[in-house]
Amino acid sequence: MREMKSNGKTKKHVTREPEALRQGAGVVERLTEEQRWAFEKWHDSLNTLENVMLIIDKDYNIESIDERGSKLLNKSKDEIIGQKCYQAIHGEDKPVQCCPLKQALTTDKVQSVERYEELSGRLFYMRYFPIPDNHGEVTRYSVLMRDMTENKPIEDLLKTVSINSPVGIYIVQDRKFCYVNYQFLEDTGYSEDELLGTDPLQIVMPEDRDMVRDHAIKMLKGRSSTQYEYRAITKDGDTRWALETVVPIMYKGRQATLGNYMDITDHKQMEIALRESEEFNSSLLKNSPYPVLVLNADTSIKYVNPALEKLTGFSRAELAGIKAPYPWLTPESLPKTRRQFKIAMQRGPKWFAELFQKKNGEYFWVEIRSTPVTYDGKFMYYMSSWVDITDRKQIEDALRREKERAERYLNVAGVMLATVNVDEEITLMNKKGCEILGYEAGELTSSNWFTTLVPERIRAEMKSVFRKLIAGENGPVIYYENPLLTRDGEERLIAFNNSVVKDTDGRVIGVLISGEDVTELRKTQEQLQHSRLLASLGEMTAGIAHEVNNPLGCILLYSELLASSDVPSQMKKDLKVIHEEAKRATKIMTDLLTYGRRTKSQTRRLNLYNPLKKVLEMRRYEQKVQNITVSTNLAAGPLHVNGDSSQLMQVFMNLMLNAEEALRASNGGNIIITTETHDEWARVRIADDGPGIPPKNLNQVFYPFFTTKEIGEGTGLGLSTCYGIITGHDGLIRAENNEMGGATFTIELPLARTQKNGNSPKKRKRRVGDNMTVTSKAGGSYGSK
Amino acid sequence: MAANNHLILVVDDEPNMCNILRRILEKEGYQVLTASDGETALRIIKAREPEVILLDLMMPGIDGREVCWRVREFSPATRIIYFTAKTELTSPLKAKELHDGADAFIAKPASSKRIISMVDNMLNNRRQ
Repeated sequence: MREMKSNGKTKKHVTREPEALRQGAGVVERLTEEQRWAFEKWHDSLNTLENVMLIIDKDYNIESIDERGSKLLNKSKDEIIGQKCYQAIHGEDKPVQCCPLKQALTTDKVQSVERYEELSGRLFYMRYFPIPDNHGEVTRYSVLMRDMTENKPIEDLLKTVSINSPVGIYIVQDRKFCYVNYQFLEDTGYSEDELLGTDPLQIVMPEDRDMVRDHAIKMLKGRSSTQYEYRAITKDGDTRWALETVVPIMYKGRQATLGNYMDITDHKQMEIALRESEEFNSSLLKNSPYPVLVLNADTSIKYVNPALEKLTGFSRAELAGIKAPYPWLTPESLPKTRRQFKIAMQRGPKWFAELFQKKNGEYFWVEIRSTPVTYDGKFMYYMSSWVDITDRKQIEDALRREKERAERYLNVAGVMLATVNVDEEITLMNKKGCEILGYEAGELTSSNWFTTLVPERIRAEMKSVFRKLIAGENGPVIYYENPLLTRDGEERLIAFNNSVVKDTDGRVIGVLISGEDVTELRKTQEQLQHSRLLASLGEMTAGIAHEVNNPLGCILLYSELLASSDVPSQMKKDLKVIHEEAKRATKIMTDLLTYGRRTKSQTRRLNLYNPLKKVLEMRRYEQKVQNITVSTNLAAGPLHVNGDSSQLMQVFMNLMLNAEEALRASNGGNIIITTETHDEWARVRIADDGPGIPPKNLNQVFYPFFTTKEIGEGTGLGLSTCYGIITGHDGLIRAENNEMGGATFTIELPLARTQKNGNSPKKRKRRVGDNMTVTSKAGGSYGSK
Repeated sequence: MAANNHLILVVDDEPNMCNILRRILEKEGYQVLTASDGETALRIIKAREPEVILLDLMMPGIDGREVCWRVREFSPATRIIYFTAKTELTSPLKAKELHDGADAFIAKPASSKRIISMVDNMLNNRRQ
């Protein structure tokens, strides 16, 4: 404190107050000119500073005060002088607690004291200077008061900075703390008293002390500007991480060290945690069994993990920085160009399988899950994780081949095979099934079985059967026949054999439907049945005819014999009636036998046109009368067949009469006769444009005694006789209704071989029911709606 | 019309038929024998050697066809006419039946005129 040395010289100042500064004035007088000049200068500067000066003795009495002081205290000098200073300044009866003068007086040391004090709402900087007497003993104090009120914000700021600083601030002088701020105390846990005057290294962990000392010296000497970290020990013994800088300063006129101390323990822990986490993550990638690839935005390889190295055979060093296309891509791999790759990279997460190639040329399948990694919406890099699925793919391939084979088997199966799941959806339909129903392969998949294939009239019933089957109420297998709709809306009769399909847990997951198209079979069976009926009818009528013919023969012969004898004429007339009726019965019997005979009569090679033309000739007149037009469309050349001319005439005659009969109701019409050859067959069609045959009668027209005529008009044997004759000729006859109305009877007879061969034509292989086909276009085919 | 003593055998299991045929043929001047079964017929044929046999086919015991075959064994010249209501025996089979042994066929029922003319025909074309 240099100021203290000049204390003696301040007496010059008090010369301005003669009463109070008498002794002081004496001191000034003893000063050299030079000293006096300095004193004056100092005094002037004090005045300029508008300081207040007063002198207080050791008993707190105010000995002297200047004008400004009197003004400040708002009292005259006389009132103030002689008063106790605590009374005059603070208005107290005794020295205040913190009175700096009191402090100064209670110590043996002679020193000045500085203080800030508030008086009358203004802030004063106060400095107490001890004034020694001639013996060097301090007997009084001069007090300098400077009004600092206007400077207060700056002071506050300074104070605030120091107090509120988040950084610990300390000053070390002579290797001892001589100043510490609040934050430093907070950080270290010590109180101000405990720290001040102690060695700063005591808060440094012993192991770090040399390092801290070295760093500090380097910084202080300007050789380093790097802040350094060390571990500090708090009062409680905790270890804290500190970050510190030190700078050399002048403090209280001497060299000192200003330290900035920051507790970075939390930050340090975060840093350590972060580092550990990074190490953890990278070790995860390193040890991951799955290959991982990280790409930069320019497609260059940023990272590959050991698993990827192992799988591909390419080392990390080989791959680092390589841009697409990568060495593992095959020519087929996508995307092909780097640009495509770049676009794909930015597009979002993807999941796909790809065939790649190892360094050694081996192929391998990987399933790739890739995702762009973004930060703040900006594309950073592309990360993809691979799974080697080569084995799985091989198994899948084997499974697919197995499935294809199974499908081939299904497709060569001669029956419809379909599976329907519990939601009634078709999950499979084999080739045969599609063929039967007229669909393309796969077209039915996912369609509803019932709404797509089952006719509406039985749909509800079928659904309930299906439900029962699924529920296990019907036993494992059921058999039934039902129609299904084809794509064209036609019905096919299917014989079903269904069974439930269960999964490995025994749960029903659907139904396996095996179906056979029995439409034709059933039709044939029906025809066969019909044909058998006709045959047995023939046998029966033949039996009847035989039994009736014997008595009939007797009646004929006896009546003839009797009529030729000598009997009255009336009796002769009666006998003639008996004879005629017996002959009529004979005629019926002959026709019946013709129907029932079903054996060929004496045949010869003949032109079918001959009996036909004879019949046309015979009926010409009658047809003209009945307003019937007959037109013919005959195939050229003779139609040679092996047959009985008179029997065939009978057939044509019956058919012609039948057509005329049909046209009679409409007072005439048209009969069209068509002939043609078809393979080894001669075909004759006799069509009329009459009312046609009621569908219910189509089955019956060839039955013996079937007739729509009034009783007595016809025997009902005409068509059955035709049937008998034609079947006896190994031919077939059928009746059908024309689409435009009317009926058509068709006869087919085997063509006779040419003379050279001499043999009759080989019998065409026909099903039993074929020799009499009954169809009706107007009536619909089998299973019609 | 040769009304002489030609011997005709009528074989039929129906007595009424036998009777009327006998009366019709006798009226024409033929000598007529009748038999109602095959065995009787064979006995008569062996004993009396009729020139023409009117033979029914369906009979109990030995039927007409068997009678025909046996007759052919010992008397090939005898004229045999099948006279039957048997439905199978229609014209296409006639040839076969003739080959089997019969010379002619008349389907029942037939008029007396047809029967007489057939018998006459047989007698006129007798085998030598």
